[in-house]
Amino acid sequence: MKKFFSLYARFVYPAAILIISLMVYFPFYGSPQSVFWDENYHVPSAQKHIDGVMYMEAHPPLGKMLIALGEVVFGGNEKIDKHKLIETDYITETPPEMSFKGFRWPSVMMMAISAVFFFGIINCITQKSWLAASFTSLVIFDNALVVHARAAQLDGIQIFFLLGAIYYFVHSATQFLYHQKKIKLRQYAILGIIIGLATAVKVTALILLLLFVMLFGIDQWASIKKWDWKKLIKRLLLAAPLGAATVALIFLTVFYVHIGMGKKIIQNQVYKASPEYLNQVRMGDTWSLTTFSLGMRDNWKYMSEYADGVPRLDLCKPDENGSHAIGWPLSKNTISYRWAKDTVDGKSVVRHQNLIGNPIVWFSILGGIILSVCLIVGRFIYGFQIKDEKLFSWICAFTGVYLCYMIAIMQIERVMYLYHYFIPLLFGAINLPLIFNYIYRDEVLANNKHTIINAAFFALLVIAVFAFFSPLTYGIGLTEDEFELRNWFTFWKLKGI
Amino acid sequence: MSMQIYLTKNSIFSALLILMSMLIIVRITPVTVAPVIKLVISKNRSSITNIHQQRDIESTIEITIDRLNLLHNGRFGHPKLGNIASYSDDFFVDVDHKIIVKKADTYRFLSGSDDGFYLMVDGKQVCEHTGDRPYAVQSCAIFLNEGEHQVRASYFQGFGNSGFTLEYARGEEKQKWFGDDSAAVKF
Repeated sequence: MKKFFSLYARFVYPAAILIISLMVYFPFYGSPQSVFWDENYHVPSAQKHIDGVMYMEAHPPLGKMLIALGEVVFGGNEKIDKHKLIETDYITETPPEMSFKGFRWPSVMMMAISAVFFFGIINCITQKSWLAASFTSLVIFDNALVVHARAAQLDGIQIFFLLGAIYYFVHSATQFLYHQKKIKLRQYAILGIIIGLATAVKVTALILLLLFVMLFGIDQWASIKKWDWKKLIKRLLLAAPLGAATVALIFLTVFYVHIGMGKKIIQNQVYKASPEYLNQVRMGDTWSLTTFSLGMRDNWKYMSEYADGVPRLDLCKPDENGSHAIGWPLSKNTISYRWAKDTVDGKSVVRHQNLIGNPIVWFSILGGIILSVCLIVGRFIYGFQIKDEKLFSWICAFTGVYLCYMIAIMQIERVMYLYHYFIPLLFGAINLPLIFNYIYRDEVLANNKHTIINAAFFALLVIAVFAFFSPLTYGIGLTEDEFELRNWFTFWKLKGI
Repeated sequence: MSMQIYLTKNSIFSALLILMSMLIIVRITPVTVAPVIKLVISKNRSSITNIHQQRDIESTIEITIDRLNLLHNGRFGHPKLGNIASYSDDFFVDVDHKIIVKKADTYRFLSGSDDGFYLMVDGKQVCEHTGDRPYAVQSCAIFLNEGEHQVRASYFQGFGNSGFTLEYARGEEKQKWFGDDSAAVKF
C-alpha cells in the first residue's frame, strides 16, 4: 500500500481535483431544457456542422465544432426533428423533447479538465501540491465560470485550451529554470498549436501570444543579460516565425475543416458570401484549396463586418446587459440569463440563472493584483529588495498579462459583457497563489502547519460562498427574500423578478 | 515579546479570514423582527382599483411583523424585512389586531397608503381612501375607552409604487407606530 502511494502520489491531487470538478460541473447540466444567452446562436451553428450546412458566424468555428461533436456522440436526439435549428442562426424555441446534454457535454468536460491544468500551473511554479490544490478552488468553485461551463457556450472550451497553453508554457519554463532542460524550437511550435486552438474558439485568446515573448525571454535570459544580440536575433528569427506560423496554421486548418464541412445552403442563407464561393459550395467542391481561399476570405469579411456592426455600450438603455471593463473585477453589471417563476405554498419562487462571480474569488483576485502591482512598483520605483527573484518574475508575468488584457479590452468600442473578464480572471487566479507564496515564502517552504490551515480555510470559504450563491448558478428556486440575501452590492445590479 | 509571538503573518491572515467569514455570516443571516402584528397578504387575480371591490384571491400568505411601517424606498416593504408581500402589484393586506387601551382619551390614527385603505375600530369605520393614489397620510380621530378594542385595517396595492403605514397618538402626544407599545396602548 505504501509503495502504491509513493508510486502514484503525484496523481492523487489531480485525480481528486478532476473528480471534484466533475461533481461541480456535471449535475443536471441538461437543465434548463431550453437555450439561454449565446446558446441561441451556438446550438443552431453546431447543428449546421452536423448536417453539413454552410454558415458564417462572429466567432471562429472550433468551439461550435466541438459542441457539434458532443451532440453527435452524447446527444441522444436521434429521433428528434431538429430541422428548425439549421433554418436559423438564432433559435428561441427548440423542439420540446430535445436534450441539451450532448451540446453542453464538451464545455462541461473540458472545463473540468481545465481545473487540473490550473492545478498543474500552480504546482509547477510553487512545487507545493497543497498550495496548488487549495487555490484550484478559485477555478472550480467560481459561480460565473460554472454557469458558462455548464452551457453550450464557448468559454469553457476556450478556457481548456487557454489553461492548457499556460500549463505547457509554465511546464517548459520550469523545466528550464529548475531542471536546466533546454527550451527547444519544438516547444514554441507545440505552444503555437495550443494557442492556435484557443484562438480558433474565440479570438480573445490572442492575448496568449505574450506567452511566446515570455518563453523567449526565459529561453534567452542569459543572452539578454549579456546583450548577446547576435545570438538573440538568430534565435528570434527561428522562434518567432515558427510560433506565429503554427498559430496561423492551426487557425486556418480549423477554418479549412469548417469550410469543407459546409456542403449545403439552406433556405438561401448565404451570409453575404461571394458568388464564387457559393458556386463552389453548390458544385459540392468544398474541400478544394480554391474553395478554402474563397471561403476564408468571405468568412473573415463576415466576422469583420459583424464586429463592426455590434452596437456600442449604452448605459441609458434600461435593459443594457453590457458593462465597462473597469467594473468587471468587482463583478459589476451581472447578467440575468434566464428565470422561471413558480408558486410554492402561496409564495413566489423564482429559478434564476445569473452570471455572477463568487465574490470571495473575484475580490481576492483583485486584491492579489493590487498587492502584485504594489510589489512591482516597490521593486522598480523604490528599489525594494526582492526575496525570491524567480517567484517575483512569475508574479510580474501574470500581473503583466492581466493588465495587458484589461488595457487592450478597454480600447474596444463595441459593447462587452462581464464574461469577457474570464481570461484576465484566470490570469489573476494564477497570480493569487503566487503572491500568497511570495508573502509566506519561508512558511510555505517549511510546510508550516498554520499556513497550510490558512490555505485550506481560504479554500473552504470559497466553497461555502459558492454554495450560498449556487441557486443562482444551478437555477434552484429562491423566494424574493432569499434572493435579496444574495444581493450584496447595488453595483452588481442583480435583478430580482 | 508575547505579543510578537502571536502577531505573525499567519495569525494576521487567519484573523482576516475569520473577519471575512463573520462579515459574510452577518450579511447572509435572515433578519427577524418581534412578532407583534399578523398580516394576511392576498394576491388578487384581477387588477384592484377599489378597497371595497369584490376579491378574487389567487393565493394568500400570513406574516407577522413588529409594526405597521410598510413603506420602503417608495414600495410596499418593511425597512428590515424587505418586500414581505412577495408581489409587486394587485394584492390586499388585512390586519385584525386587538389592542389594550390603558387610558381613555381621543386617539388619532395616521394612516398612509399608496394606494387605498380603510380603518375600523370595534366595527366602526374611522378612516378610508377607497381608490388609487400616490402615498399620502390622513389623520382620523376616535375616542377610545379603557380596555380591549378590535382594530381592523385593510390596504390594497394596484399598480406602480406602493406603501402602507399606520401610526397612533393619544391626544396631542407624539405619534408611535401601530405595534409599538406606549404608556397609553399595549399591543
